[in-house]
Amino acid sequence: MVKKLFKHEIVSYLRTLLPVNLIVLAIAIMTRVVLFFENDSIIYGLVAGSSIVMLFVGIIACIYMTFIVSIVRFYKNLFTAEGYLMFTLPVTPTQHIFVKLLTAMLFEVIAIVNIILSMTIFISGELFVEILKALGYLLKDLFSSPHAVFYFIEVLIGILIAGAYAYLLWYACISLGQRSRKNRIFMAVLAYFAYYMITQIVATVFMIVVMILGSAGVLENFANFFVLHPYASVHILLIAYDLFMAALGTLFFFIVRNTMKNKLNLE
Amino acid sequence: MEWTLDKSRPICPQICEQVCLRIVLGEFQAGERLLSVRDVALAAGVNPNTVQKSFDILEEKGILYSQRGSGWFVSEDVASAREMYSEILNEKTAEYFSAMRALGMDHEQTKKYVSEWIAQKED
Amino acid sequence: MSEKLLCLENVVKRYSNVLALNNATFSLDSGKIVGLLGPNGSGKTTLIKILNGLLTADSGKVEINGLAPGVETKKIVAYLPDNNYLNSYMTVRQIVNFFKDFYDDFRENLAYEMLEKLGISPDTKLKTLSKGNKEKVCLILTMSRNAKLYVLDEPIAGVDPAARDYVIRTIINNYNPEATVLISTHLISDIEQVLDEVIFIRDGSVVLHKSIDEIREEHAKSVDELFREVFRW
Repeated sequence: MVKKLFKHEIVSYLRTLLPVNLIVLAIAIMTRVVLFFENDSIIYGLVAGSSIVMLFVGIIACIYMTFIVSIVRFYKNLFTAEGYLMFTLPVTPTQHIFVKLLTAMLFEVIAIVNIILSMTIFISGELFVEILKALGYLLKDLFSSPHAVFYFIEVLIGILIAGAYAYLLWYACISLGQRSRKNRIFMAVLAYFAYYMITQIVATVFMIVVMILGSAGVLENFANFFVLHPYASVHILLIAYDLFMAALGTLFFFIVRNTMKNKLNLE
Repeated sequence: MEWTLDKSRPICPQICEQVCLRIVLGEFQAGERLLSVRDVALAAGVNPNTVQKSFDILEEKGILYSQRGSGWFVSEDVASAREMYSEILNEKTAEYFSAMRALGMDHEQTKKYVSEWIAQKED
Repeated sequence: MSEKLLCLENVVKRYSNVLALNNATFSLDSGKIVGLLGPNGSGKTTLIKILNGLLTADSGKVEINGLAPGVETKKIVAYLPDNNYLNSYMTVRQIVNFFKDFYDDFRENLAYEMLEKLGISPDTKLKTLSKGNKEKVCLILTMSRNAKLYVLDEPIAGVDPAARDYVIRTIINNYNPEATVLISTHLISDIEQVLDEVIFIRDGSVVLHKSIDEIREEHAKSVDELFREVFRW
């Protein structure tokens, strides 16, 4: 069942996102070709300039569009009239959420790969080789310490978790918006801003508490630990971040699941 | 021939009557295979269960008989069907006279009126 | 005593301050075509959503083939909602494939047969279909499933009389003694001939559950007329 859901999800994403990605790629190729005809004329300057601008606009648009398409798809497919079809399929809410989330993240990865590819095409030539060489030295330096490998993994996991978190947050907001009888989209956006405000307030309070404790000398043990064990500290921070974000993501997941199971109120 | 059903009477007896009607009028021949339950249901726009019940009742009365795998057949002996037909005629006539009485015409007046009406039509 | 296909016992459902279902109780055997009749706001829609697992009852028993609503019942329940739930950029073929993918009991050949009889080509985009044709396609998709319980929500409302005949013929044609069709409607006189039983529901409770012939026998009037009496304002 999950495989079939994936199949249908991917097909419907391709409908909107494949053209976007291909266009970015095409602009990259076109820009590269334009740059080939480098000369001092004004025409060249204009054409090349606008081409490069288009490329960067395209890249930014690609990233944003992927996110927006995913969120809109989640809402439209599950919480509008289509929901009558989707929720009477022999599929659990968990499976629905899982498939939507994974497909969204898959297309983010596709967008990123596409952008890297486009930039590569754009930059190709001597400059590109230089960049690759410099990148090679940088990576060798970075991975000289054994900790680096673990850091890399922790950061990578962190990025994935952050990605899932971003989607699950919107899914949860949409779900909460669904619980009201009217103005569902408005309520969802309201929920998002409410969450943002709360996180800002909590963060600020936390900072103030840390500063007060710090100036009172209570945090000296922590500071000593950081100085004595720098590597371990970074590990702890990274892992703590990963766990914290994963916990929030899981909370959002349960909010969405609960709404789908008990509070689904399709019009 | 249309299947006309009265909405205020139970459907089952009406299906029975209509089948008998068709037998007496020759649309369903004696010894012939009848339409299936589904076909009759479709034609009359009613529930196949109701048609099934009607056929069962008609079988009990000896008007139809079923053969496993071959379907429903009209019985050779059409006497029972004719009986039911007579009942229908009787009811319809009673209805008519009752309707005429409501218009102020008794039996004698109604009889006279019907004769005149027929005579007129034949001109 | 055969096991009931559908069994509801004292089902209660509340929305904030509205009691939508108030100890609703009834059960259905298989092989029946049953009408669920009641005015707007009587709890019909809530009941149907609970049967389809779109809502959960606050209390009471709901069993379809002995199972509570969930993934397993969704495999044997075919639902025709009263709104347009199809994604309009799909073609007819794509939506048929969708149903085929998710429902093991979907009969693809039957679906194409019915579509052909209506002159609807599989490559037509859903959004180009007329409203009447869209509803017929939805009906075909639902009836092409070989389900144990069909739940049709207002299948003949908002459709012209010829299309209503088509719906009724399709229901009769698809009749299966192992399955039950539950039709929720308020267009009673058009459909009462095709029903075995009717359930009258008012204010979230079942006020009547009888066979059509029983009602016509006892009250010497059509179900439509009885309904008007029972639900007189």
